[in-house]
Amino acid sequence: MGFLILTFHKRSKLIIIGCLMILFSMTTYSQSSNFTHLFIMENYNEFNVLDKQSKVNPDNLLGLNDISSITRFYPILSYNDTISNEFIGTFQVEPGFFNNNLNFSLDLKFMELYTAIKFDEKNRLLIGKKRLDWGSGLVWNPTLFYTQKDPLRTQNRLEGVYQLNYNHLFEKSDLEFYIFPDSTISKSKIAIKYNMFGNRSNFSSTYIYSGEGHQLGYDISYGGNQFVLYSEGIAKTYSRRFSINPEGLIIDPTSIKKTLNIEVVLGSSINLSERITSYFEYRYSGDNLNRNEIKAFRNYLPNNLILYDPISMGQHSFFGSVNYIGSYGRWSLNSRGFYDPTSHQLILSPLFVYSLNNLQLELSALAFHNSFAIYDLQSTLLISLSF
Amino acid sequence: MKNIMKYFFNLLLTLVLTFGYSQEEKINYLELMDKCLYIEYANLRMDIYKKDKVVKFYDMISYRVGEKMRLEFVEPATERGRKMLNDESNLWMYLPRTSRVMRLPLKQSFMGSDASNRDLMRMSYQRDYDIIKIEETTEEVILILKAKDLTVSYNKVVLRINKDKMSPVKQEMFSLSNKLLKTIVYENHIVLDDIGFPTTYTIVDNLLNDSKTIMQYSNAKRKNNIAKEFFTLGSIRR
Repeated sequence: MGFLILTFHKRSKLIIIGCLMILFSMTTYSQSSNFTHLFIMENYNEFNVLDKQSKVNPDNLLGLNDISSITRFYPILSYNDTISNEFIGTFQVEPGFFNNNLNFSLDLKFMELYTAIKFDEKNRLLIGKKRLDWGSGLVWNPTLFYTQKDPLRTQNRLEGVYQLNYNHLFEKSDLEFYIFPDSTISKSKIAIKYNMFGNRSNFSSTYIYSGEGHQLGYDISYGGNQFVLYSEGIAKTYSRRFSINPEGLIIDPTSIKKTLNIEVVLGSSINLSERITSYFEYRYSGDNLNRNEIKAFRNYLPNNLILYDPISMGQHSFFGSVNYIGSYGRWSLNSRGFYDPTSHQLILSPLFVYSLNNLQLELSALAFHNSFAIYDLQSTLLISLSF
Repeated sequence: MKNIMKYFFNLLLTLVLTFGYSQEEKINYLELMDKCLYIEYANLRMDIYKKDKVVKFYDMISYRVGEKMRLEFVEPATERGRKMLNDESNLWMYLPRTSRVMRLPLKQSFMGSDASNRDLMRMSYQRDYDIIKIEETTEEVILILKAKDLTVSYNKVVLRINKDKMSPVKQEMFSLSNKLLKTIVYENHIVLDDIGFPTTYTIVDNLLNDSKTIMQYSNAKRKNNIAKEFFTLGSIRR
């Protein structure tokens, strides 16, 4: 540990030492009912068979290794206290320590760090860095404007976003106001979100305004005894995507003159039996590449990797999976598939999860079948310990 | 005049007897059972057994008001912070790992146990079943129940009630084809606010031979006075 800290620059060292001291003192008091703690230690390993014919990564241009290994540690500490009869205060901190096990470089970032005051059960004011939970989509969440999930591991802990949030609960709905500060005023955002739920269904609408433009979003889901149907989508007046012209020139998002960008996800989960569930998701993304752009992308590889997405680069994407939960919920077997009909990217991936009370093992293999693949085969092993 | 008086007396007697008889006949067993199993707060321990060995356990806090129920997971550490909410016809699960809420189908297995989400999160005899037959032994009243519609998990239920405690002792659930699917044995009855409450439920999936799930309630309270907003989708997201 000492060796790892020495590789850091001075400010990071101080932050880490400060965090460790806070963690130590907080865990000492964690037997108190006001304190709760959860430590998650994850060891993630990849074993890669590089595609030697890859047009995206010829002669291993990207310098990828056959093996990669990362250890992640998330100590999550939370303190709740009643300030008066009506007010309850919360403070939560979740630093994330990331160590590359091959070159012993340690990185730290705060995944969450916030304080909140709840007055009666109805109102809450929150300030700090907290994850956003927008959208019903399992793999893709267009309404979530900030960090997107890794479609291959949707259970990953995401980084929060700095915000000032006021939330008011009604009996069948709730209203949220957000301010998301950023480095400049034009990058900062304000948002409003209204959520309501009724008989077997719930609906959310969102509006975000920033210097980039406006974004309107919706999210709806309907649940039956054996199935859930959902959809979420956005319409925005700006684009963040890069494009490519037929001559192979990369076009900056600010130069793309498009009045409205639309992204929509439709999905379902169906219970085939008490232990077997199938999932399906379709995404249309106006921000992704069309057929001609993908053609240009292919022709001018590898000079345009800023456009590259290993799962889906086209405007239409499909995801499907079947999940079987073993008896007693100790293990599950999942077969997943992604397909992009525009770029013909196809990924098939079985995933096996075994869990004991505090330990979880995830073993997956990824087979890539397309001309944009970097790997022939990729297998991953994740060991997660919670205590 | 005498005849008229006699007629009214007979009419009155008939009405009193009829009313009295129907009152006795109409003990609302389903309402009674719903009241018996109704608690607004409890600590809940669920042990999933395979061949008499615990393979998985969950410690939870159960909150309820009317038809709304909320479960908060305390142990094991991998599940700490997970919450489930049933709001009559909706069932959601909050996953702390990703800070996300997922809608769940009601008939899915509850966390790999022998119970389904619906068994645990949405149980109301009055709403879901009609009594089609009542049998009696010296110790028990046996109710044969039929599902009101196809959305209910089990087509037929045989519910045995202890006459002294007026509390359920055993429940057998059958499929449409009259196959025994699950059995719940209710034990360790206590009296809570003058009504019996079984603190231990043993659920056996009759299609699996070697498993059972035991649920044990402790610190149970009939009333807990929690704001109704606590049982909303917005509240479990917090």
